[in-house]
Amino acid sequence: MGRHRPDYHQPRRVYRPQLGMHPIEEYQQLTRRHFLTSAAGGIGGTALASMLGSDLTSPMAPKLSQFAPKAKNCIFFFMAGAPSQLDLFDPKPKLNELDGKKMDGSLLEGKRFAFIKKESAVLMGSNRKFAQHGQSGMWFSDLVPNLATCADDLCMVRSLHTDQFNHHPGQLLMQTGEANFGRPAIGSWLTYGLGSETQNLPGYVVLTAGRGSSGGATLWQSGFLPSVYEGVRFRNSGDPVLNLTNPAGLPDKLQRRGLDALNELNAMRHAKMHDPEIASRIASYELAFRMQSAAPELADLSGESEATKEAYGLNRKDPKGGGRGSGGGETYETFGRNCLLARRMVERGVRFVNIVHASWDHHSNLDHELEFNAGMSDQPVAALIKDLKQRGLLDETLVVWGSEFGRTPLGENRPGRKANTGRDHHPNAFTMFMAGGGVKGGLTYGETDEIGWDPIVDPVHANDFHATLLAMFGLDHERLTHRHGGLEHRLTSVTRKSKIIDDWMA
Amino acid sequence: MNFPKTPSLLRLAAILVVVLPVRAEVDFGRDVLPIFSAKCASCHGGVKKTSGFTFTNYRTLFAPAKSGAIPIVPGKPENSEVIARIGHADPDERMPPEGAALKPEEIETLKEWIASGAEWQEHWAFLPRNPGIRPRNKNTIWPVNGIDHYVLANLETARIEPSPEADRYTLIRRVALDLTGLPPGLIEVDAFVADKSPNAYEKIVDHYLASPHFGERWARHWLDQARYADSDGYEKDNARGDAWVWRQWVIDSLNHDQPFDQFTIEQIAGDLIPDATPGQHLATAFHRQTLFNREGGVDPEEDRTKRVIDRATTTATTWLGLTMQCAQCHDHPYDPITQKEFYQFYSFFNNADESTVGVPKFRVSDLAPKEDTLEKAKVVARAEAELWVKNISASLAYNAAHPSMTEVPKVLKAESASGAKLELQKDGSLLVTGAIPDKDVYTLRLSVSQADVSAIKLEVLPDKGLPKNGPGRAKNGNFVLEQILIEGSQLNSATADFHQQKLDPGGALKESEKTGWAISPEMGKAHQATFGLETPIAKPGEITVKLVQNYGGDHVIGRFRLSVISGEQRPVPSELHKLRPDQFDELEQHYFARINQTTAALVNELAEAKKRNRVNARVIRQRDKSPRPTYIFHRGDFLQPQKDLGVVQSAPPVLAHRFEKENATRLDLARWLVAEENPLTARVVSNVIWSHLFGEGLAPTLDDFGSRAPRPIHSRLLDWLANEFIRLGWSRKQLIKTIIMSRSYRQASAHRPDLISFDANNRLLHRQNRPRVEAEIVRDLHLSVSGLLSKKVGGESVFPPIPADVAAQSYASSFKWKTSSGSDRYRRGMYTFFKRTAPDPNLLTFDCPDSNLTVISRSSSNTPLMALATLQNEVFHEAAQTFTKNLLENPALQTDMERLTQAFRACLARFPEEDELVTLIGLLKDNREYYRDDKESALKLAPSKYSDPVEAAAWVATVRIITNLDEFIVRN
Repeated sequence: MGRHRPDYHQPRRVYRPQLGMHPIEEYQQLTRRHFLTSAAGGIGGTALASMLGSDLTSPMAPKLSQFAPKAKNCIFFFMAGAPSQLDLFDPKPKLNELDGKKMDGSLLEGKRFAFIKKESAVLMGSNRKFAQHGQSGMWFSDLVPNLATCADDLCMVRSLHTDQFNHHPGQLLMQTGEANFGRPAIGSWLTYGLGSETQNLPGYVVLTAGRGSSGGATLWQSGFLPSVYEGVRFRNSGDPVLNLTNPAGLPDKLQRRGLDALNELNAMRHAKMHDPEIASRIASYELAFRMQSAAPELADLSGESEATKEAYGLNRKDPKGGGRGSGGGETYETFGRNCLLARRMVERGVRFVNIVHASWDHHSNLDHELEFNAGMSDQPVAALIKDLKQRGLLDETLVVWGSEFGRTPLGENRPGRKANTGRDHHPNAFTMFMAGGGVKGGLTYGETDEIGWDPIVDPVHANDFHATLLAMFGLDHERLTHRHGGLEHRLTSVTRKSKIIDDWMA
Repeated sequence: MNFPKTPSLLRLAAILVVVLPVRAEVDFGRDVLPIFSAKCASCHGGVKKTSGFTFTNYRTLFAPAKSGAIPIVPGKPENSEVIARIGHADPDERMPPEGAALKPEEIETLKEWIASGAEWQEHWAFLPRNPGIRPRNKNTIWPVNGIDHYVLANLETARIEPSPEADRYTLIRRVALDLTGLPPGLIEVDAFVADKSPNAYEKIVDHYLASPHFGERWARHWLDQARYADSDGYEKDNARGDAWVWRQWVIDSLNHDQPFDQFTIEQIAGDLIPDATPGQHLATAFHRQTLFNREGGVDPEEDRTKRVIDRATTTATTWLGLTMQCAQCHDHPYDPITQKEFYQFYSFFNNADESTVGVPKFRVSDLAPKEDTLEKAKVVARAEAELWVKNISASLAYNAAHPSMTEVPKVLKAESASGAKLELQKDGSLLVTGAIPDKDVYTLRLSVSQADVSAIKLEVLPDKGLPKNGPGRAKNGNFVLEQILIEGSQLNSATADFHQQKLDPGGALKESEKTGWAISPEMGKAHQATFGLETPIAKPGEITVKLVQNYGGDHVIGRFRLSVISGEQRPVPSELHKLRPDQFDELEQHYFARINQTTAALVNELAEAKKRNRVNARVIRQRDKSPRPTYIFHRGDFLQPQKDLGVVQSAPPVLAHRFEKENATRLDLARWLVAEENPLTARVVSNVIWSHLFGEGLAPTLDDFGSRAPRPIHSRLLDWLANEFIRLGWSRKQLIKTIIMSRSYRQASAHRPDLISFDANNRLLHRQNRPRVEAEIVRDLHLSVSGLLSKKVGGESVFPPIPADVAAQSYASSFKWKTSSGSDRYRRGMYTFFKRTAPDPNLLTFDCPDSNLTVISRSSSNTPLMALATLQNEVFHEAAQTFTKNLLENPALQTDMERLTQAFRACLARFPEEDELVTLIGLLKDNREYYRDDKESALKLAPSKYSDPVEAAAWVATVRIITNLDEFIVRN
């Protein structure tokens, strides 16, 4: 060897971490590499067996959080379209008084609306009856009587605000942290950061009921993260996960026989090529095989008691008259089943369950439409919270219920409409609630002004919510990053200082 | 040369020192700048300039900071505040304040650099390319081209032998997959293996380069960068029925090996190329792949601004490898790009409006048969054509030599039947005012002073007082002259400079309703028609002219002038009046198109075919009226333009190759991008091309050539390659061939256990890599080996079967997926209709990008969902069934061994080894045994009619395992 550099100077460059790789993954890959190196000489039956058993090859393998977590799993109800907080959770007697009156013009300055014409807009009171519930005296409208019985387990945040007033951008912001495409959803970040407790089921599952949302599949995309972190849709009919069932005429026995041959052939190839990706491929096929039995077992509700099914509302048909939130007359039943499936998923270690229901976009006919949707959601969501609690799962399962923005105190006066029967998009102030996962029950956080126009106490930006959610999982939103296009990306916007709200935590 | 016996970290450390093109001292770009970028720039960068200095502007480092201390004093590390602070014992004083302290070796590096004078260099990628001198190799036999000299030099320094050349089965499959994305046919494989000629390999490379599938394969790579999709993106996510036309353009461009510089210029600024062809306009659709939001409440300007930002940043990433998007809100945190400079770049695209262009749906050559017939008919009519042209030319010459005299006669009386007023204007024209009648007749008495009047000319003129400026009084400015009469004379010919379809001036010679002269859609302009007299009016005197306009619907003339023409002119078709007698080509063209009945029919047919097969494609077109000024948006918010700070168009000044043109246009920008002096474009693009042939780039950060990208180990090779790209006239095929012909490319791809601990990631290119093929190619491979694949190139997107509930995920479940029938069910993966909010899950599962942002390198994951897809999904299962059918029906295959070998080779090209065959035969036997006892299942697994369903099912269950082999979806 000729020229020399001091020894200390170089090793860092030799093992330059693969850019953008998760530090824990990097470590795992190194260990894996060592394992394979030692086995590389003659990979026979034993080495193959260890490959099959090795979950280390999976990027979904459980990982340690950055600091002590409060929550382990999350069930996130995304009510796309924006439910009216003024008719569900945030009572405004003053707004009722001012019904039909114009509002203080200064509040409208510089504000943009999707449909409202500012000049002629008037305030619209709520037809709902509100009452306080639980020891905490939390307010609920008469549309959510079951939820009201969970008052002391809920953390109700009434002072959320966001930057977007159109659906798809707003939904992207709430689900991915920014109103841009190509970014990973919350569930992708969580599984990227923590992996999943189960390898036999996807770590990030999406359940849907009713019609498709504005954002469609872009709401559970993994963006610049590998597709393994993408939300996997659990389907309401047919295979719960796509391609789960063997082709007709192929019994499990032959599937197993085929996979044994496949593993053997791939192992032979591995012995020649020494490429760790082949070992990963073998492990993936084994996981697939396990998923083939785990997913149907999960979807099979025959072991659930009739009382449980009834509590979740699986016996309910959509009320007559439907509503835009309905999709084929079985939305109530599907949504109830989704809630029950969500519990079964977190029981089995699924990290993140996203339940998406669209059609809360009530520009008109709000009373009727909201009644339909709230009726769909109220009983099963309350049942889920109680069921989780009773099974001791609520402590480690964060339940979130929310949307991309809220609805205006102004009635919607879109040209051509005779009467104001609905509300427009309102990014300035809206409400979401959480339960379990270490949040403080019975807490009503933040306050809006007397007509619900702006938050006046403890405003919470959507990104603050994101930062706090990650913190509950023991992840620092500024340190859970992924390098893409030369920049460190994270769930929260890099241009905005997001705050973690300690007050929410028990 | 020997392999190192005991590879160790320490040894590798030592080796890389020599491998890297180092001088004895610290290398700024490699050693120093990455430390500043990684550890310091988050506070002292483009966003935060804490204490008033920033590592993105080195001048601030050598001057006193706010504290008074000087961050860096060249030659004096002991006086440099940076050194004092990074090594400070007090954690409150130590820099960086958060995260780990700098490692001792990093501190040492910085000290050394300051001690040696703290020479600040530009970031390597911003400097001109410098391939250095070609490295000398000890082994002079191995290298076949420049690439190999560089690769081998590194390997030799590291005392590593390159891997042996891959066997021929692997080679041909590798080349076929890389160039066409399809597996090689077994005939081609066997011919190549048997070919003893010295250029056997080059022959197959040329063969696949010439394949029409080459364009498909490489177009798909480009579509990733262009964020191509078949729908709008947001919410309703409307289908873009014309998107594929541009995809077709990209395929054609690659197949014709259009030089990359032209490819660039046409896509960035095709609309600004003088006399741009429709194809050049179409090229600009690169930037029409942006998302579009049609939600009811969207602010269109906000959405437009978003698209313009996307165009600017996509251009920067794709051509320059720069991440400019962060500079839309603030100065770039790491790279020396200010927010103002971002908007200078943005402004090139700010007046690039969205428009459409009519383009042929298929390549012009597809019209060749019709053109052929026409050409043949022209040959037949040639003699007749020549005679006709000679006559007309003579008439034109005569007319030119005998100019006519024109007079605007005095108007003695002008009356309207409806009672409208005809007011004489200074120019001798008459303006019609008053209530607009449904119909009208104007009668004019004129005094003519000229003798021998042979014709009368009617000019219709625009006027501001008329609807749409006239010249008619109908709402759209049109009129219909139903008849023109001169009392006592007969008119017998009529010509006009323009006439509406089916309403030509000849119709005004006779009295019949609904015929006459009209001018739609050419309203708002002056027009004229000339009517010839059967017999000239010999003497001067008074004449009476009647303009009958009984068409109805206000179609009456609003302003007009009559003149008389004297002197005999020979008849020439009105369209040809303006031609010179020597414009023979134009005359001949007229003959074939209008006079000769046979050819006229063919010309017409061809024109119709072209018109019928046209589609309006979305393109970019420069806004010429009221251009938008560009302002810096405060914090990137389009509602906060900083109007006091004007912005001129310019490219980022970070590069050694400055953009210095005043009043520059998008076309100038495009040319600057591909100027030879531009240090980035050729590097970025050849790096991407390399990555498609090696699975990784020579510079590993394909999408980031900014300051945080360390100088790659292979920077000299990258510079050589980039220069070679330009030297080859930006020919992509030539560059690809150069890489593929290299020995470096031809190496075997087996990982080498002896090198795992020291070059596991193959940074030194001691072997080929084994990338998994992309999502589309997974589909193509399965369909191809089964015999199902339709090899049609290009055309509209198709709808292969997907699960019903996928489309239902679209907004309000509004999207209907109409499954294609026939061979369109089996097209290549790249033609599957891509609905952004509800894409085909088979594509996404295998890491196909979501097409919302530019993607330069795809990720490649390895998940159970992929295994489930290729094992169970109907597309792949159907392929296995058809594959089986073809195996069992092939009369050349008789035994299990022959069939298994055939199936194995169809997938992998190589022959199976003995133990592989043993495993497969064991599986086949067990499958047979099972189905012998379960015929019902056998009929389900292999539902086609077979004489022996047990046999068929046993084979399907075996074949599907072969098509699930790792090796099948890996390019080895």
